[in-house]
Amino acid sequence: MTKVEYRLFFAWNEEQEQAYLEQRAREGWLLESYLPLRYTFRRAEPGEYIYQFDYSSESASAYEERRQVITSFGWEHVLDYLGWRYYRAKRGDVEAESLYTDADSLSYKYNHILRLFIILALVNFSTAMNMLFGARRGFPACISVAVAILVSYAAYRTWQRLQVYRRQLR
Amino acid sequence: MDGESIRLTESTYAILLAARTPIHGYGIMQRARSMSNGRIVIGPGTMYGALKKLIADRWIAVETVDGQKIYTTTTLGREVVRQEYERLTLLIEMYGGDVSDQG
Repeated sequence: MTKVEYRLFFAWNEEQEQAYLEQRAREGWLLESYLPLRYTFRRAEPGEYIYQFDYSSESASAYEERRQVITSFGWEHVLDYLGWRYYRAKRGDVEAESLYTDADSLSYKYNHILRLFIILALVNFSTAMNMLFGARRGFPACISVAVAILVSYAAYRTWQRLQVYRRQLR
Repeated sequence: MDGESIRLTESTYAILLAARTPIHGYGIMQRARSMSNGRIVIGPGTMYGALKKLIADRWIAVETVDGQKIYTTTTLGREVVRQEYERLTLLIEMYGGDVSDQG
């Protein structure tokens, strides 16, 4: 048995998405697949689970070694979506409840995410400029501007998070 | 290592100590945890990143045995961790030291 739910979470608020998925697991629904806004769950024994998200822009084969280390620590690889990799473990089955446990490696992870958002923001701003003033004028530039602003905000929030870890490193 | 002091993160320090005898990744985490009386628990993402860096620096050597990766701290790695131990010992000794100006 499966069920589908539509939810919107922002990448700078991964704790909210974790809490949502962990609540569903408590109710006996384990995440099975993800499409934009669309979460598919399968029926399972209700339980205390932990969800973690890794991010890597690497290809599946380049990422494979990291995935193997993570699963050897008791994590189940649930799905990949545009570089985000979802993991799940039963609480108590894993010794560290996070994939990343020190400021050094957390900085490394969020640095990559920040880079992604900065690139996306630049691409969208340049598309918007092109639509407003360039050859492809007349296109709905406001959408591109809105996306660029949203992604810039995501970059800002990620940068803020990064500062917390960086302060711990000093 | 040109006499310059290298500061290790807690995880790196624990990994180098834990891998003094050959061990797989999960075992390093378990050893690090028990050596630190449960205080240092290293997540798999952190472990992977640290090992990758330590292997590139040649502080840890890796070999594949029966399809499983086995890690061992190299002589160079042992030297690095010993230097860190000495640095930390000095810092600890300072705590009980004399703050008078003479000498």
